[in-house]
Amino acid sequence: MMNFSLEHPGFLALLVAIPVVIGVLRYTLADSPKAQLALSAATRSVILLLLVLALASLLWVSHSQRVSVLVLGDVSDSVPKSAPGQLSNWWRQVSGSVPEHTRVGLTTFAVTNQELVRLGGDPKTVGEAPRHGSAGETDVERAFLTAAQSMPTDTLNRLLVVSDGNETVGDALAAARRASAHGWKVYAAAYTNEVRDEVLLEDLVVPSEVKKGASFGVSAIAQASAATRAQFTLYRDGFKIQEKEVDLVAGANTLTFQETRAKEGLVKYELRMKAARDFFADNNVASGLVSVAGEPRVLLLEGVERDGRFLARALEAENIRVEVREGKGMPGSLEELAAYDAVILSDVPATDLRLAQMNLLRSYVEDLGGGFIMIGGQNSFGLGGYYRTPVEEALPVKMRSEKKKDTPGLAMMLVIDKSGSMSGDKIQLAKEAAIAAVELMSDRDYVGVIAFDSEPYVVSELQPASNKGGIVAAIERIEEGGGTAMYEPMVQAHQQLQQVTAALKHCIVLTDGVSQPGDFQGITQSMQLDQITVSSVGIGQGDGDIDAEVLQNIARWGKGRFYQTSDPHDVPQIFTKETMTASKSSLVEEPFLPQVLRNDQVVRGIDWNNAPFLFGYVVTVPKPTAGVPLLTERGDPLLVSWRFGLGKSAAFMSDAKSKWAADWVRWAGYGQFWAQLVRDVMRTTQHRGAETTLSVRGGEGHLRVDATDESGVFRNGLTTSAQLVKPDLSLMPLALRQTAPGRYEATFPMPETGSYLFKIRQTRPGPGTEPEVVNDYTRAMTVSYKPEYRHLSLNEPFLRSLAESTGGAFQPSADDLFRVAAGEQVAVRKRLWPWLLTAALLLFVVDVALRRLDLAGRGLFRDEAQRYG
Amino acid sequence: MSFGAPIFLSLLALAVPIVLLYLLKQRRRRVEVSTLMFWDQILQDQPSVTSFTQLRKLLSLLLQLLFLLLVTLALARPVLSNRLTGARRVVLLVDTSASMGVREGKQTRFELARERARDVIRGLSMGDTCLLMSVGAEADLVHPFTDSKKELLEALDGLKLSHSGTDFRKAWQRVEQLPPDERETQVYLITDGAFDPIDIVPPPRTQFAYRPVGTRSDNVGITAFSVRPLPSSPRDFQAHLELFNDSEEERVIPVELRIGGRLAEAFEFRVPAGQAVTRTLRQFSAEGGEVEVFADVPDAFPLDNRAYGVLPPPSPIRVRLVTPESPFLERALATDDDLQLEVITPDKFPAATDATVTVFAGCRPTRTPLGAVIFIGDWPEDLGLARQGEVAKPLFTEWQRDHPVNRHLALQNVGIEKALSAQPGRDWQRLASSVTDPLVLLREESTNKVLVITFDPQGSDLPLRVAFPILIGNSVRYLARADTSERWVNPAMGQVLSPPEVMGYLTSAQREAGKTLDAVVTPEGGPVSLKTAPGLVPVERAGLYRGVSADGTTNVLFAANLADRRESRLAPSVELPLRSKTPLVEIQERFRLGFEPWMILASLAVLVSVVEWILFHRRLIE
Repeated sequence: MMNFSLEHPGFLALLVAIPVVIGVLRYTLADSPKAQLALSAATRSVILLLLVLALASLLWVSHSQRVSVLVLGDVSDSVPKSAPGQLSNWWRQVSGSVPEHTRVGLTTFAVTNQELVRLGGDPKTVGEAPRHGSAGETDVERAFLTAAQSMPTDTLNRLLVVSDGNETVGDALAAARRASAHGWKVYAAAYTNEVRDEVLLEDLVVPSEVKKGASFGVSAIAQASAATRAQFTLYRDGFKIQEKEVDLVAGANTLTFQETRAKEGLVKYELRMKAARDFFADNNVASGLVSVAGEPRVLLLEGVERDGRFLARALEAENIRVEVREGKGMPGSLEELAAYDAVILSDVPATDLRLAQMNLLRSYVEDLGGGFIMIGGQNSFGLGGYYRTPVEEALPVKMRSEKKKDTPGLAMMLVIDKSGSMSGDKIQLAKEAAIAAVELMSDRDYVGVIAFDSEPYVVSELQPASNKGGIVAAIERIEEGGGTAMYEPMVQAHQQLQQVTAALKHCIVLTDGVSQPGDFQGITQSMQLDQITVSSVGIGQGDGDIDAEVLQNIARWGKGRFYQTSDPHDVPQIFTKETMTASKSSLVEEPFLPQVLRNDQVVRGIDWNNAPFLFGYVVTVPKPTAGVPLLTERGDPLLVSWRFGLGKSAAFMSDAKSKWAADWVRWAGYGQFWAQLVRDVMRTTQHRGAETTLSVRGGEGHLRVDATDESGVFRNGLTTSAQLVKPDLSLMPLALRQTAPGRYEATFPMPETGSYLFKIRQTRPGPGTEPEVVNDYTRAMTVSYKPEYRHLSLNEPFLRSLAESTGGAFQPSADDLFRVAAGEQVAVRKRLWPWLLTAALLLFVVDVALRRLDLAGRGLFRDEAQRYG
Repeated sequence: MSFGAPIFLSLLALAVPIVLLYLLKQRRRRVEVSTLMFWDQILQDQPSVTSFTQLRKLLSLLLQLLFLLLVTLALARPVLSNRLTGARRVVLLVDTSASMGVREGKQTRFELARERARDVIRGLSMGDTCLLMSVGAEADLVHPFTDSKKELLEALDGLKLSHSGTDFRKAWQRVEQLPPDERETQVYLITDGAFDPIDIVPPPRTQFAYRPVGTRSDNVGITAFSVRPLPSSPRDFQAHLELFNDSEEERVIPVELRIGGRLAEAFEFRVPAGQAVTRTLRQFSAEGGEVEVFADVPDAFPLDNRAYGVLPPPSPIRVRLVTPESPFLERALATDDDLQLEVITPDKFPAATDATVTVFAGCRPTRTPLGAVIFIGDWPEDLGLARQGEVAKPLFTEWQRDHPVNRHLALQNVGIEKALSAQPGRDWQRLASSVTDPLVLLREESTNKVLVITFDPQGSDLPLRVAFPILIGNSVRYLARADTSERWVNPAMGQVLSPPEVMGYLTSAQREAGKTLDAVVTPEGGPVSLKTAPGLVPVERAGLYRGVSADGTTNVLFAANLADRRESRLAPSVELPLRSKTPLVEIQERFRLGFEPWMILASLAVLVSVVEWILFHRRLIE
């Protein structure tokens, strides 16, 4: 059915010109015959009508059955290698039989679309397709939506999706259904799967929570495209625990490993597979995390491992499992740390920990809710070099203490290598170290800095540390370059230290190379004669890149300490430790009795009146929001604790071994005190009937918690939150919203592979001001590899439903694509203005002819002779 | 300047016949007069008359040629450069979310938005193209880029208000996917801004304009509502209700809860200003069906004053209990409204009647029957589950909390006198176990599904706990494949359901009985046929969706609710609800040539034509 409409009907007002034309005839002075005049007026009126209709944009609305077909070819990583060839075949099939007035186009897609043949363009000119395996994930929805923007509105539109059907991002079915609402049809064709041997491991299925000692199955499904033999190795926390060879059949193969020996805490299981016939290696690993509950478990890091036996025995007697390691045994991953309910650092210097480990420790407390205690000693707190470290941030005390009036003054020279080899991080970190050392010194101390390469440069004369600003600015100006001659600067340092009066005189020498020869023994011993101690720091492995022997001897002759590190990031800790040690400002070695300041639950129930003496402690300053239950007799804090993030940490300034606590270890209250302290800070796990469901799709994670009480009734109105620790250790707080009785949900981005830890906490209003914790537990989820590698076969049902849900067909022929069903049509609007203007122009010539030709004279009109007079 | 259709310039050749017509000597007309006296005088003055006539003739020719030139140029369609005309690519995003249905005086926000959109479309000028997109829970391309104002206006008139929230992120993703264009892209957001601002990275040469609609008005809305059967008693249910008071004073709101159309509970809700308050209601419904909650408060946004839920109707499972005597178990099975229980003694087994699940308690058959079977405390030899004596006083230490059989179970400290020590093979799943032994085992094969409880509950305190009926109910339902899916969960607004998804809302009993649906009646009343391909059911209106069976019976399937606090907050966003690290460039409105050059030329041609006509007939030109 034909129909007309106007796009700019406002122009119809110009039709007023037609009555004007006719009206003028009444007053015409032209002498043409009336009939000719009338014909001329009619012609002119038609011309004007045509012009006005053109201006009003007369549209001819008809119905078209023309078809546009856009072929969308999947080039994502999961498609077979032969996919480009197969896509070409489909394109040849479609473009080879294009009926008249039909437009076809070709676009490839993965994460983004790439147009190879423009819709309606020349089918023979095909652009270059992306290289196989480089395009990424399969986002059919995005491909649809992008295509929608380029499809014409005046044709019946069809999309032919050629794919393996393994959609990993987006929701193509929903997009297809919306497209069908606009009258589009989606057809789908599957790539023929080439004979590609592939075996993949689906998710490792492990229970999320087990009791220690319980037997449980670790199972996985291995999907094989063909029968093959494969070797499976199961790792627990990185250690191989089981291995088996299995003859896989084509299809799904279930493998189960029985496990009984999981340690308490969070245990990571990883299953690796090696198959004889396999294409992708990325999907041969699956991992999962199990939370193994048991007795509280504590990691005790002790400077000298056997010194930890007193505390370990006391805690074990209180049913707390303790694992004692030396300081360098700090775990290197958050998963490993999460296995412990608390970590204790006892007399472990910061130099035994890497910066990354200190960051982990802070994250363990702040984000995973772990407990942390630092126990005093000559290598703890500031003396251990923890000033300005992540560990200090987590602790409730500041390492820097104001020097007491009765502590001796310190004069310290820093002799720093600035040779060419110190370039980059080394010199920067050395400068930071020197600055930190200066900041730690009190105003009554003296400090000077000499940098050296082939020659010494006095960066800052020995002067009162009260001029910190000037000294720091001078240090910041040090620039690297030149050779290494350490003797002369040591001589200058000696001279400067001789010129001041101070109870303690100390020199720190830092180098990363081998110095030109010099009388190091002579100069060091001269300094020692002047009561100057010398410590040395070597940055390097010691295999020829530093002269470890000379540095070691300097420290021995100078009655100082020698440090060797291959990691320049350790230098700031070494300098601060040296400064604190040399100044002896934070060390008090005298007998004292602990004084109870606040009757916290940590100190409650202990017979403090009969507590024996402690013989020393480290001076620290409590942070503003920290609690101080115990003090020394001098009024310095002895025990300080606070909540840090989700966890709790405490600082005990004396020790727990046979040095300062020699009498304590025999005291009846020793075990009780330490058990109460550990229980106070350690991670709380409460899990009363909460079901947790974690899922991920299209880079988006979904966390669902269903909470019920013991009677099977939903728990409602709980405040539910989760702290998400991502694989890169970055954090994301999640607030879960109650969506149904007993159900709490949150959605969040989860784009990367790796382990995601969720510290889930549910609270309700308690009787006091503090909320009552209902559930507090950890869950984990591991994304072993990209979803794109998850599929080894075609997802034909997906493609079929994609097509059928829009009225299209699966595996269509070219004829199917171009076939138009009865009644299938689309409204087409054709603008008629060019035709109208052309007609007006042609009529205009007739109009002029009517004017100029004497048609009456030619007998066309009756020429009535006019009579005048 | 260039021409879009230069071929039409050839029509200038029509000037030749026109000039020729003017060169023709016109024959004088014969006129009879009474005397020639006056005509002689005229003939004496002829030279001056002739020159005036020539001038009039020339003027006439020039006007005719001017007309020809104007129309020919119009046909050739002159195109001015985009730089000269400032042609733009306009992206018009019109909010169709639920809050746009709020009345603002005589009009709704949606109608106001359409007016704003019409202004933008009418303001399109030469070289502009415009794309129209509706933004609700989904971003729908309503019309691709076109320069046709009429098509855009018609598409705009066809826009429908949805009952969903606003996911502006999806709309922005579509804008990001636009192909590059040499023109500037101008994005118009016509919305009440009832969504949280989103972070964007604006593509180059993109400008933004925010056309807010609506004014602040008080509102009280139901921002969460769902009903969920209790695991321990499926005919009991809890309703979770959240009421939000978007006003500056505390409100006391009367609320009614109706089950199956009957008033079940009426109460008052006190909600502080600007806050949301939740309440959980516990009710009983033997038949299941529709649940409606209504906040009786007149405000500008009535849509969020009602919410709906659907309780799955009973789906009876035939259970046969074979036991010499198990009063606790019998009671647990009998009190579950979803189970049709038949109790027989072991000597009556096998019975003539059919059962979906058979439970053996305190006895065992000689052979394992096919189908779904639960063995409690004992099992037949041929089951393939070896036993090694007994284990005394086992405790539940581990159970797969995420398995449907163990859902909502609390098995801590259950006191068990003794259990059989089972040695399961690889085909058994341990659903619950003690430190050393399995206590609940499951094996699923194509013809046989068996669940084994290795101890006699009568020798434990389990029957005294709520966990017991839950465990038995879960087990029966799981083995019967009955409604383990959560049919009480409503589909999200904006979802489009396929026929199989719609059929999923039938109970397992209905499906087993071969019940199918012919159509779905939406809250608007319009039936959507499931029989005609593709048979998709869009969930875009709040209310109850009912299925119509082949026999004409109707039953409620699911509900859809707005339940979006952001939509219930009626204060429109004052600022552009987009955030960017780089400052967003605002659209500067300026004068634009509203019509294409050909239209100006054609208009001039009309004018020339009329003027020429008048001049000719007043003899001012020849």
